Amino acid sequence: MSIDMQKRRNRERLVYLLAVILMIIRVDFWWWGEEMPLVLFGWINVPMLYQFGIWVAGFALVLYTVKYIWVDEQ
Amino acid sequence: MSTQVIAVLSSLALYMLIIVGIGIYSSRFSRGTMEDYHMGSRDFRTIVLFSAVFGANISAVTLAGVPGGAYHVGWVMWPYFASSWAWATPLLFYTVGSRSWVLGQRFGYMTVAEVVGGRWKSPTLAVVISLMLIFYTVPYLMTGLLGAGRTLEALTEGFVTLNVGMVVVASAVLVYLLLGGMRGAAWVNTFQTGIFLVGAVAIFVVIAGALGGPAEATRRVMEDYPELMSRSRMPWQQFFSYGVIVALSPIVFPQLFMRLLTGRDPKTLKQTMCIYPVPAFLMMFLMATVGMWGRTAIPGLEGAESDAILPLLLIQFTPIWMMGLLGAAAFAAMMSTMDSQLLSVTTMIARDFLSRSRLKDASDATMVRISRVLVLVLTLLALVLGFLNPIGIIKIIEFALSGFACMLAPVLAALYWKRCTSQAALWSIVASQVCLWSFEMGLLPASWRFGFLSGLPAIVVGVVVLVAVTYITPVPQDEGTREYFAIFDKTTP
Repeated sequence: MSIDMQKRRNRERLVYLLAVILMIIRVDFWWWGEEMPLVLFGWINVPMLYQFGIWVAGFALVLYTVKYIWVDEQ
Repeated sequence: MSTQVIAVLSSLALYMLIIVGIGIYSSRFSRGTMEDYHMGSRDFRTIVLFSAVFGANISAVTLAGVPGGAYHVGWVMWPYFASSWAWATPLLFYTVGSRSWVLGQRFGYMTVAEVVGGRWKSPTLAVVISLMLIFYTVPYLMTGLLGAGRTLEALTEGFVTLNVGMVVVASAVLVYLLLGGMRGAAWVNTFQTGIFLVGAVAIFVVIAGALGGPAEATRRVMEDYPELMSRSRMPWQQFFSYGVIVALSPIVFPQLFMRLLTGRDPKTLKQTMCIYPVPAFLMMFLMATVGMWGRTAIPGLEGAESDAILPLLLIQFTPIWMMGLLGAAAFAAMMSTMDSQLLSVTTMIARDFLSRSRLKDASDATMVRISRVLVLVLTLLALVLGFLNPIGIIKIIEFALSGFACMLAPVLAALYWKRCTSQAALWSIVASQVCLWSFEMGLLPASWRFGFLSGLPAIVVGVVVLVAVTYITPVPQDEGTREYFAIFDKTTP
C-alpha cells in the first residue's frame, strides 16, 4: 500500500472515531430536564447552542472527508 | 366555498400543473430503457442529484412529524434529527456511496440487494434484503400520503377530506412517474426542493412575526409549557438511540441509495455531500421551532392531531394568498419522498425479482411497461394503507427507520470486510429483525431495552451476530469477494 493510501486510511479512521464521539457527546444529559436561561437573542439557550456546536463539528468532518480522504479516481 | 378554500385550491392546482408539466417535458428525453427509466441513465449533475437525494430524504416527517412532535415535546425535536442525521448521513454518502457508485458503474447495479448479494454471488441474500427493504418502505410511503392528505384537509378546512386529498396527491405523483421515471422525478424534485426550502423559511418568518417575534413566542412557551424548553418530555435514552437510528438508516433507504448511484461522477457526489448538511439543519430547526411555538397559539391538540399544526398555524396567521404557496411547500416535501419511494420499490421488484424469473430475457421496452404497472399497483396499495392508518406519522417512521438501520451492518460488511461471509450477513439480518420485532410486539420485556428504542439493541444484536458467524464460518473464497476488493484496492483508501 502506498504512503498516500495509508495516510488516507488513517484519516478515515480518525474521522469515524470522531463521528462516534460526537454521536455520544451529543447527549448532554447533564442539562437534560433542566430549564436553562435564554442567552442569545432572547430565545436561544445554552443546550441549543451546544446542539448547534455538535452539528458544526459534524459538518466539519464531512468537509474534511471530501477534501482530504475522498480523492477523485475512476 | 370560502375565499380561503378557493385561494388554497387555486395555488395548489397551479403547483400540480407545474410538476405534471415538468414530468411531461422530461418524458421527451426518455430513451425507453430500464437504465434510463430507473436510473436516469446515471447522468445527473450536482444540483439535480442534490435535489433528488435531499428531496428523497425530506418528507412528511419534516413538514408534519417534526412540528407535530415539537408541539408535544419541545425544541428537542430539531437536534433529535439535526445534530446526528444532518451530518452523519452525508458522511455515509462517502462510506457507502463512494464504493457503491463504483460498483454501479462497473456492474450496472441499481439496488442495495444487488450490491450486497453481488459481493457473495448470493441470490438468497439479495432476495431477503430486497424483501425487508420493500417491507419497510411501503409504510413509510404511506406517511407521505397521510401527511399530504392531512395538510390539504386542514388548509381547506375540511372541504377536501383526508381520503380525497390522498387520492389527488397520489394521482399527481403517478403522472410524472409514469411519464418520466427517474428523470421526471429528479427534475420535479429540483423544483420541489426549491419550493420547500424557500417555503420553510417563509413559514418560520411569517409565524414568528405573527406571534410577536421569536423571543416573545419562546417566552410564552417558557411560561405556559416549561417542559417543552427543558426537554423533560423526552428521555435522553430515546434521544440517543433515535440519533443513532436516524443517522444510520437513510443510507439504506432504497430511494436514497439508488439516487446516489445516478450521479454522473464522484465529483457530483462529493458536492452533494458538502451541500446536504446545511439545508438539513435548517429544515429541522425551523420546523421544530414553529411546531413548539404552535403549542401556545393553538393548544389542546391530542396525539397525532398535532401533525396538522403547520397548516393550522398557516390558516390562523398567514394572509390567504400566502397560504396556498406555503401549502405547496409542504406538498413538495412530501411528494418528493413519495415519488422516490414508489420508483425504488418498483426498481427492486423489477431487478431483484422479475429479472431472476422467466422475465429475465424480456426486452427493455417490456420491462419498462411492467415497471409502470408496478408503480400504479404500489400507489393503490399505499392509498389503501393510508385509508386504514391507525397511528401518527412519527410512530410509523420510528419503526421503519429502525428496520432500515438494522440493514446497515451487512451493507458495510459487504463493502469493507473481506473476511465476512454471506451466512454472517444473512444471520445478522435475521437476528436483528427478530430482536426488533420481539421488542415491538412485547415478546421481549421492555426493561431489557434500558429505556432505549427497540432499534438500538436490534442493531447491536445484528453486529454481534455478524462478527460471531463470520468467525465460525470458512473464509470466503468466492469470485464476488475477489472482484469487489480488486476494484476497491485500486479506487478507495
